[in-house]
Amino acid sequence: MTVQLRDLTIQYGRFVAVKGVTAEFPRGSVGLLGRNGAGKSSVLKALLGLLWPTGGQMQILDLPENTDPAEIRRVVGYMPERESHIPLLNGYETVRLAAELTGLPRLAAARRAHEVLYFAGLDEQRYRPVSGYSTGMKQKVKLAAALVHDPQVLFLDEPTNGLDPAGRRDMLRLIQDLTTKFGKSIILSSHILSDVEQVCEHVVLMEEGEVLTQGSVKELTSYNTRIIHLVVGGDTDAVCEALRPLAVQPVEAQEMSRYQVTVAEDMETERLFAAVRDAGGVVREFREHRRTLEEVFLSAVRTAERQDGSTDPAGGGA
Amino acid sequence: MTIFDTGYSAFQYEPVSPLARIWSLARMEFGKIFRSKKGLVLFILSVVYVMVLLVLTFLNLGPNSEQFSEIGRQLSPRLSPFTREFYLGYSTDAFGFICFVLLTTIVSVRAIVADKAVNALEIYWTRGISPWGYFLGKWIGSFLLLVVVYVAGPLVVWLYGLLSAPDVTFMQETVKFVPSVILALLIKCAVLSFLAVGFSGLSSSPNIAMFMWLIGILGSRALVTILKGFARRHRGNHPEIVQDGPDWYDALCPWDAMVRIEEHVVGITSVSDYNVWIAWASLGALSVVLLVLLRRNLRTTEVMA
Repeated sequence: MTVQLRDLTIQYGRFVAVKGVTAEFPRGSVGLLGRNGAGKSSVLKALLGLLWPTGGQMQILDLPENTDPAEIRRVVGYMPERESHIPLLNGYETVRLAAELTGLPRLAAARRAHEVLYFAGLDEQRYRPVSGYSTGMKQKVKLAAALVHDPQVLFLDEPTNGLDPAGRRDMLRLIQDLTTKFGKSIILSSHILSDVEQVCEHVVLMEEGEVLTQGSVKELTSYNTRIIHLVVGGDTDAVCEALRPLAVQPVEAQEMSRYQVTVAEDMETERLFAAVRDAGGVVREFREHRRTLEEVFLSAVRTAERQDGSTDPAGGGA
Repeated sequence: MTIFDTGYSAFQYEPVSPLARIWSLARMEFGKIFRSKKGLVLFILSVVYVMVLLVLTFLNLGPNSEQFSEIGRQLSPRLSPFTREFYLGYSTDAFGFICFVLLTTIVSVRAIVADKAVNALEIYWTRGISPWGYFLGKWIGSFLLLVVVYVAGPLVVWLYGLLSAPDVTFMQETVKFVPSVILALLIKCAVLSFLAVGFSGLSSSPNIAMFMWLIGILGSRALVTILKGFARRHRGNHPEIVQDGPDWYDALCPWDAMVRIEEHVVGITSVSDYNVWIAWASLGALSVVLLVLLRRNLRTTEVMA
């Protein structure tokens, strides 16, 4: 296990940013997802030792619980979300300084800086001031700086922010290489869910300081269900009624005769056709698709909102 | 196989001490002035005075030394390398003051705030360096820069004098006070670079930092003049005699307070002859206030959006 959180609570004054989160980040690549203000950055800050949690426990790799933050940051590499560079330094000097600040001896830092910059795809540009870099190059320098001390775990905060499609593809390939070829564990914080889906094997979904759901991407996106888009002709109301017993979630009427039906994974498709036929309708279009992470996320958010509504006395149990 | 053929590779190392990390930061901070044309020009301007001192030393100790020494001593003790005023002059006179204000305003006062402006604190504090370690590194870097200009210059001039003097008289006369001059200059560089970097840590943008610093140095000097003007009073039954406000008002200006301290350390009679402890107290109070405010400003929780 890369990281384990047990009942982690983080509070800023009276505001509770993280509310008793319990989550597991297995080895490999894990996505930490959530909207702005969900508590992702607070969790990362706590993991990096930049703030002390108000309650709960954290375990990073096999490090003891009260490990010195400097020691934590020696085994963890962090790529910040915001555009950040050290004024007046070029790419090579930035990465070398990052290495030296992490504790590498001078010569080793110089050698290592060249190596990771080459890996990140910055060749001759490494001697140009970072302030003149394109967004993609700046992201690569940040990745190189996070990698320079060969950490076992990498925290990547929105690594594809501001990148064009080609730059985004390159960055995701680098991240994938790090896990698949070099065995790094990665915690990828992002709200671009398609990126996470492409790179990560596991995800932890957060909303308003709580974990909505967590698990492997494969499980969450299949979730023992299939999503079927139907366009039907005939008596649409009757068709809708006929589909309802087959669906495991409420049938979503998208337009007049267009429906999204979520059915059990093992349900035979023929039963669906039969139900439509028996209701006097006809299937004009049939399309099945795999749930995306975005749908999982939105569905989890909706479920949480419904639960909040039903438990909130003022909400009247909507 | 070169390292470029390997792509990424695992890497093992024995971490260096926290002080070595701080030293890396200090080196980088010190070198910043040489990374821009503006900084380079400023540095050259700052060391012009050393060239003048070297020429004066040559004239005083060279082939026609007797003539020049006599003229120099008659005009001002600052023109003779046999006096302590000669070595201390740069750090106390107007030209030195202007260079100091420029150097600190463009380099030291931007040390931390320039990092804040480009979110560089995220890079520093998510490594093995604490906010106070970071502050220390920035301070040492700025201190070294001032040392090169204000301490190394006079020291080089003195060493040049030692090597070019025809006999040991120069050494015998100067060795008595040169250590105290160096000590005074080191104290001055340390205190003022601390204040400049402290102001930098408190500010939210480079322009505000520069403005605050100029107010702190130039504004406080103006304040002293105004206060002295208000305090000016007529003496007793002799209205023609006008006395300035008390000398200790000078201690309200960090630069003047520091000049008082260095003159005390070196043993020069100061123009404003107030108790040197007042100058220490003034700078000490300012430093404590800065440290308290910095404690609030340099917090790790501030990094990362």
